[in-house]
Amino acid sequence: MLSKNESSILRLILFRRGMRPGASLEELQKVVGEDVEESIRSLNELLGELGLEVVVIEEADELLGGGRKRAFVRSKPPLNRQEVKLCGFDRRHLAALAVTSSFLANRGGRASELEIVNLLRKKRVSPRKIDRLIESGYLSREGEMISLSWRTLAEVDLDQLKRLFISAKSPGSGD
Amino acid sequence: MTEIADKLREAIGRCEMALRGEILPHQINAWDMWETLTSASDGISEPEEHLLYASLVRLIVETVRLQCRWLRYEADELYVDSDIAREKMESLSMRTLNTIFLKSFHPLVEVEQLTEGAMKMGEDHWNGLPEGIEEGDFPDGEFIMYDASSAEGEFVLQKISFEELLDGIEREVLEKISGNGVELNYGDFISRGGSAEFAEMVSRSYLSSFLISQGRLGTRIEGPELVLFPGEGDGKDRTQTLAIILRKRGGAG
Repeated sequence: MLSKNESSILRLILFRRGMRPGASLEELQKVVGEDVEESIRSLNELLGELGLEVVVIEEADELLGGGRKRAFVRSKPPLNRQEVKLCGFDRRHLAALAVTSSFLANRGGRASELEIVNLLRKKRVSPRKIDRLIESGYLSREGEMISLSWRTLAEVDLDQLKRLFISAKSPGSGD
Repeated sequence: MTEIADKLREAIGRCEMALRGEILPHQINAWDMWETLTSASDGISEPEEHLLYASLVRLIVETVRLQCRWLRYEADELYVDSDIAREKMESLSMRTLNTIFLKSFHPLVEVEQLTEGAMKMGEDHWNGLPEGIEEGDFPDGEFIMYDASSAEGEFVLQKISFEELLDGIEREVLEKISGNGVELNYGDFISRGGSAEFAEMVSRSYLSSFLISQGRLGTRIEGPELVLFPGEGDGKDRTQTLAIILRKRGGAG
């Protein structure tokens, strides 16, 4: 059974208020007090049985930092292909996200827009998808630089992505 | 413009280049920047110099923070050199990249809420839908058949037949010609002397073209204008309407 604090945290994170999903850690602290991180840890043990988890990320550029912390509920195991299809994700949108997030994760979170546009063209993905990804919070633009934004940090396990990217075999590599 | 201001501006430009990603963070010598700052601090007098001094202090702090994070990132066991990363990205197929991505993708979960305004908008839309078609009334076949006299038929099909529309246009042309006693300007006729809406004009020109092709109306070019006059056709080559009824094999049709 969820405690009063845990159910309160879950409601605050799940119900959307404003432009972004989730709830800021400051908001949660106002409701449940200072032991919010402990409450999130115990909540995660219960949510794990439902295949969900609460993650706390910093809403800022990975390199520059300095943002506020925000908690989100996300799927604990990654979705399989069938689930991705049934959940209605746009295939081309995901392809653009796969290319940009893999590249940026391996470039320290930032790269010039021109470099990303060239890469997307080589992969036959429309560069106009960059604007869509910025609108949905996956990327952010600062001058001519593109960096990973809050949504990618919340939804993508970047260490796992980098690990899989390093271990992926290029065609014709012979190993 | 003083010498101090120039030096401060140059240092600010270098820091901004690193923050914009044009040069790598470790290409900035933070100690040199600090030296510039301390040497400038004794001779600052102008308000502009004070402003540049404060900007440089802030940018040095941001650059050092960037250098810290960059070092931590480069020391990571998963660090991949930029050029290697680009080459590998180019060599991997889209299918492999998608597979890698999906294995590390955990989409967010949230509950959408309906506001009072959204409910009202939905209700208005529902009430604005045409009546007469109840849910579950659709037949199983590929075609939805309507009885011409039913309410649905009236909504979907116009009762006026094509021939009636053609006759109406022909009658109008003949009346205008007999009234004026002269031939009729084609442009004036289809646009009702310029008063018809675009949709009506298209419809009148579409119907007139049938009458011309059937010989019920004739056209002639006079100078810059096209004129209409009664045709000499006897109506023998009038379009015949053929009703095609589609029946399902073995069905009642």
